[in-house]
Amino acid sequence: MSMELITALTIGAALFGTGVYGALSQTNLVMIMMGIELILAAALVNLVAFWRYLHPEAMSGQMFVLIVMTVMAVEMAVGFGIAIARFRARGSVEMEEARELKG
Amino acid sequence: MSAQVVFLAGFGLAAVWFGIVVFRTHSMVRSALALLFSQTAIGAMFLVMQAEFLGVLQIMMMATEMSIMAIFMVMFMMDPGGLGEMDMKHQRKLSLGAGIVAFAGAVLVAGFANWGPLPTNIPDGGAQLRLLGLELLGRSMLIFESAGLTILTAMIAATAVAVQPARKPEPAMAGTNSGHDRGKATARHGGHAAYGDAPGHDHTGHDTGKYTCPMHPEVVSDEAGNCPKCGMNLVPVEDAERDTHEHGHHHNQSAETARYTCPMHPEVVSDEPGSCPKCGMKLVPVEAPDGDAPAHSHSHKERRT
Repeated sequence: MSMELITALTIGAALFGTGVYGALSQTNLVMIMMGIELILAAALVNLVAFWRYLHPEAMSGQMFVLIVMTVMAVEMAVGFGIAIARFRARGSVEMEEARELKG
Repeated sequence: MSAQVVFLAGFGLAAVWFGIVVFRTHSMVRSALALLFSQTAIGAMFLVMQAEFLGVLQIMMMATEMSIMAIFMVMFMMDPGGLGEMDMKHQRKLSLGAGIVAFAGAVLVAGFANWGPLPTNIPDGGAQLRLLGLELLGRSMLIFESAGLTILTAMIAATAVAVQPARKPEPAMAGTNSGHDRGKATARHGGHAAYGDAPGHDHTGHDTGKYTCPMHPEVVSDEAGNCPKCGMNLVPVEDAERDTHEHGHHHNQSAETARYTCPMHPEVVSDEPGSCPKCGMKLVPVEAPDGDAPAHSHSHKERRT
């Protein structure tokens, strides 16, 4: 039982919880994206911790981290694309007003 | 307790604290900065965990991402810098509960799993980079290349979503299209089409039920929907009301029924909650509908004369 791994995983869990709270509670699209960024950052912390404290010789762990970083960048790009489209059509990025998207 | 645990916990607590600050501050630029600090602290955690390449990469990438985010914040809403009491939250209890459950669940898994002993032979920075390079261009090459393809796809998708759609020719919108299509077209084209169309509507459809925006009386539509300018729900127009609208005294209407206003733009008044068409902030209720706030004097003066 390693104290280091538990510490890192607990920090990851706290970041994840904060991100979930933010993504659910915010009404502004950009703020929701910040919550999702925090969730992905929590995943990063866990991945690096698993690589370092379980299998430091296997580089697929770091590979996975690179992929998650790619996902973060892609999420930002597409999120801002949607935000610009919303802003152009409605003049705001408040998601409370996006109820007409409901099928 | 090793030094690694101490540093991990220190940087980790900083990351979590700034992560919480992101959703507690009243300014979106401050939120972006707090998120930047949080991500930087996470990068420092990577450095503590001897993943030097990833740590530096994280810090550099997040600095860029959060600067872009801050620019978008300034673009999308006028930021009062934390002075205005912006309320940007909903479903508080549900979110708080979900956050706590997520945290507790993850901690339980981390605490009760049997992780085994700590490895001792960690490759140093140079060896890690060499191994990672061999991994990237060897066994994981397909995944690595697909990440590049994913980024390309996302760039194309984001651009396609964000570019302004091409304008449809005006005659098609004015006459031949059905009302539904016209509504969609005006919504997509922003306010200009609505300005141009409004007089035409008034001539043609006097007998049918018409809808207008409580805040933008020049917006008139044949069917219910949302205002293309501010996104508010259109309300049905009565005959008398329509007359006043045509004579251009619409300010009286909005001032009498106004119950919500923008904290930063007091001239924006609305009778239902929503967001300010100028800055996108959430509208706050006004205590007295005919209130004595100096901001409303414009409308009141107009009514008395």
